Amino acid sequence: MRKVVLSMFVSLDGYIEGPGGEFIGPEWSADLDAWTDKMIERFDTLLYGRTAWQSMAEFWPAAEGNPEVGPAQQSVARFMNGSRKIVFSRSLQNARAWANSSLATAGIVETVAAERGKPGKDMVIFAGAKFAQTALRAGVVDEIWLLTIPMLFGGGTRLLDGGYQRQKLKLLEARAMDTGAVLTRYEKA
Amino acid sequence: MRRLVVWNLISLDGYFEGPTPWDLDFHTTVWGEELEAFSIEQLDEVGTLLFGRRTYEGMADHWTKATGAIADMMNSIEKAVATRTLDRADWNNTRLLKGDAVDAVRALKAEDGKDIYVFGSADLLASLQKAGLVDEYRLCLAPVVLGAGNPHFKPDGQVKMRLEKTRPLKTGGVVLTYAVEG
Repeated sequence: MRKVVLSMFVSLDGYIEGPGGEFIGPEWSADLDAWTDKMIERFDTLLYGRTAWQSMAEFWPAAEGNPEVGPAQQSVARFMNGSRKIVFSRSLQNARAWANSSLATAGIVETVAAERGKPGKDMVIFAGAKFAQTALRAGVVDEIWLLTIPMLFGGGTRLLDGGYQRQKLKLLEARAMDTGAVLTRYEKA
Repeated sequence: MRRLVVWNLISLDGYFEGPTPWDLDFHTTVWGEELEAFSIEQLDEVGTLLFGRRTYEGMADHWTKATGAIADMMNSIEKAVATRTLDRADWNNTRLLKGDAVDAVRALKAEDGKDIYVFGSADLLASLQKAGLVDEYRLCLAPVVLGAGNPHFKPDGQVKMRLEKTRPLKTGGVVLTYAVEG
């Protein structure tokens, strides 16, 4: 049975973006690159809300093969572009702006249930606070992987913003990166 | 100058208590021999336990009725409570910090002695963090999402931290130690 994993960066105070909606990414390092390369092997399908899909669609197709994008990012670009992408949107007419994308034809619960029955690797939600919250509230997330950045953003958009059921989790891994970010991976207990 | 260390248990979604005050059931997900040993070791390092009024009252009520090694330490260690409303504090070895909490804590830090530890007290912490008086955070991240509750970190400015230690517990809790860089 294919699983759905939520895998995101978050500040120590629980924000995914800063007070002005700005992206504050983790400090990149060899450690983080190695983890990212290993992580993406687990997945072949990405789940997106419209906003995150649109911004990623502007970035990743142009990144692949671009010499200005470093070698570590190239394997990520190949993965992002080559994987299946399922986009949940009521307003998009089509998903042609990014290869291997398709619009979901049903709600998240039905779509994920149908996908679970198909052969393949696991599914991942990488981006988009609002979509992550929708997925959590719909109860479709099996594992939560967080890379906690050693910083308080002081405000912004919270990733785990409530509205879902209280849920005990099982810790799968806790590991400090060389940058001081901490990777914690959990599954539903 | 004494250091000010914050020790709290928080859920993965960043709450230190559930939607109602003292909804701390999630503590059972991490409490056990390891955390008990950690607590005793930590209490040995405490010079003063600093609380906001609300946490102080709850702690006083709990620990004066409890028994065991941790209860003995909690009851004997010096406590300080920041309050505008209390005129007396009956829990053994307590001082009242009247007036502006930030000024009072700054003075407390300037005294000689072992370090100051804050447990709970999220509202007081927000003021202390804003004033740059927190030196270290020790957080036990509990393996649970609560779905609603009272956030441990209140909105404020950006603050950089340096990760000092990561210690996973058998219960699935993870104790994270950060030094505040500012």
